[in-house]
Amino acid sequence: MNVIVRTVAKVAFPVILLFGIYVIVHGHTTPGGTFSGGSVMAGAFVIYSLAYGIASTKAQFRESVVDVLKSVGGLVLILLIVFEFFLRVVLVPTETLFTLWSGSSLMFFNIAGGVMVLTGLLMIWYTMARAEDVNE
Amino acid sequence: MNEAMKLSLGFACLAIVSAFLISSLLSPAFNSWGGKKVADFYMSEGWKKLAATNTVTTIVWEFRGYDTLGEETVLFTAAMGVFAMGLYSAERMQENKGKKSASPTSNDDIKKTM
Repeated sequence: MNVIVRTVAKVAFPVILLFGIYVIVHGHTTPGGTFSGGSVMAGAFVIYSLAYGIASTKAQFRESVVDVLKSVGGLVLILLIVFEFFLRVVLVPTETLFTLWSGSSLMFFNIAGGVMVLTGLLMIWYTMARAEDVNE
Repeated sequence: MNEAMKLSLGFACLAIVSAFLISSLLSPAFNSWGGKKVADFYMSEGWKKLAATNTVTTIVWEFRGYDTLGEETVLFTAAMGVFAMGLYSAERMQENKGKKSASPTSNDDIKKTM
């Protein structure tokens, strides 16, 4: 891609990532959550790889790391579900409504699910890009 | 297994599924008063129980948490399926690269991959 696309992608990449993190972390106070935030973050990586090529994206955010993160996200989700009642009892008295620190375990649920959605979509994108590589 | 057995098995499955559907439609959760009770509980008590202002997230992750876990499992399985399919077809294409000078994705290749 030419220099305009590269520059815009370089500037927009962290902003899109930050917005995705915001949507995930504020899932319990504002509209949004795991699926929307994870899709936004995966979109940032897709834009980056369209501008700079899939090879450099894979070099910086390796496929093995994505795979491990996906499994870790699922494991954390199951652990959170097991200890959910305990978390609710401990956290709810310390929290205040309408702030980030509310919603007991919902924030952790959202983060673990968001990691899972991000890595799952990224894995699908990497696999499609690999088929493209072999064709060339 | 002959045709008559298959047909009767299919009818049995259909009968069981439709019995479940009808019984679930007749259950109190789907009646007007029962559904309203559940909705009122979600709206009035949900944010008190969890101190969260987004009721949708409360319902999705708390009251229907196992449903969402299943959703995540579906996503996980889809990603793994696409990954396995891509890996397999990439290997197949690389095998056939030396043999054929024509386009690597011929009709035969696709049939073999599937």
